[in-house]
Amino acid sequence: MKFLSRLFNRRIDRRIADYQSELLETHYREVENMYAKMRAWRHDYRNHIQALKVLAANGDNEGLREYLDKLDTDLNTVDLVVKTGNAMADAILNSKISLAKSKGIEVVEDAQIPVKLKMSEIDLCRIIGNLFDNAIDASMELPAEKRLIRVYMDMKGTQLYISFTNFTAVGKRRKVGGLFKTTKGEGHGFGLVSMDAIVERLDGYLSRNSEDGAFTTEILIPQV
Amino acid sequence: MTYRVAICDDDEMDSSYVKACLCSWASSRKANVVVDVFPSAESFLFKNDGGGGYDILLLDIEMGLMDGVELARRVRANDKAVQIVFITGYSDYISEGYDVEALHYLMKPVKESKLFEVLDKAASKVQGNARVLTLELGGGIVRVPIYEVQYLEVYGNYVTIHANQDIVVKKTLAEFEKELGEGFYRIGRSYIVNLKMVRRVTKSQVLLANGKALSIPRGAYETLNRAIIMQG
Repeated sequence: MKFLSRLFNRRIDRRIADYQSELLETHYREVENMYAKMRAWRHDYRNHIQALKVLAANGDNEGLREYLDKLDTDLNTVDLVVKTGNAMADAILNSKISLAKSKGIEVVEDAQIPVKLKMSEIDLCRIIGNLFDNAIDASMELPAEKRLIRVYMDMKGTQLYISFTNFTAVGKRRKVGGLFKTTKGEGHGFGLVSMDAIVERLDGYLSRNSEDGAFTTEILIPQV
Repeated sequence: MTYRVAICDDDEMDSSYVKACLCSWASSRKANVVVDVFPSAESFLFKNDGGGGYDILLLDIEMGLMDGVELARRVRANDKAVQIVFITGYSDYISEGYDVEALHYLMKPVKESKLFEVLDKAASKVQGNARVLTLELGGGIVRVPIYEVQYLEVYGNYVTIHANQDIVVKKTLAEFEKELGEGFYRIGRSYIVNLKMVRRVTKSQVLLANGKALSIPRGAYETLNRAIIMQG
């Protein structure tokens, strides 16, 4: 019996690890992709200026206008929707926001953190990624016109503050043993556990609140 | 109320835009502002050696030789009360600016409504900073600026105010709690902490900016963190 339960626990541990690494890998791929685009743009910047100067020197107004229009379109594909000032936060937020939008979820964000955070990028990535994934999953149970995620990030003194709100189909949710239970059935809810573990390891604070069809998670993480 | 404000930005278009926003903020709030504009950190320091005595600084981060964070650090060394707001363009890397205790970071292009919000917050902090604790000691009266206070600690009928120096007076913690008001938080029977000084809260302790760790009772972890979130 003991052997069986140990085996079972080990299998769960492995599944948590698999889930996490899979999640991270996806996030990093999205991040890298965005940076590659940005680097390419920077690299070409001088060439573009040079080309524009030549057109201007030749008095080719038509050519100038065409070139600028082309650049504008090109830039739009690189330009980030969200600029918090923190590169990693930007990347993860932007990739998750475009994922949410592709699922017909409206995202309202107000995020400003142009300081270098002390916490590791992996932890930040995991926390924001998990918050978004959970909020997206919950939103999908609602009709498209009711899907809305609110993201707020700011510094509270020297601590990073993150607040996520999504609307839910179910009413007020009850806690079981001081915890909100996952609604995704057995074998899910790893995201919730891992987020709690990261926040606890960093001496942070995490609060979940479910009220009137809205679910809010608030997090404080010390940076000093 | 008149606010002394300095804008420091190497981009003239940006600084004149911020100046225009600042002036329309002042007229909408019926406040007076005296504005100085500097094109570099060096020119600011050349004119204002000891910090300049400004109420609010609006600083660009990426400037020529010395950046806005370093400028803020130099001013902060002499002036604990000034409200520092960074206004910055996008960058892959922005240096750590925790030690200068900035009020806020704004991204360019700055929305007027967002700048108004931050100026409101700065103005109320400036007014708050003018507040002092007036303490009666045996020999006379001591005035301690409220922003210097780290925490207060009760011992019998006495309270110790831990600020730049420690001052002991005969008074109750409840009286201080009422006098200090917003921005301060009472922990159990023994302490009142300045929320601005809190660096982290663990389940059993609160760590302050001066390195001091205070034990907190069960239940305070939740309420103290809520207070930090609410003080904005």
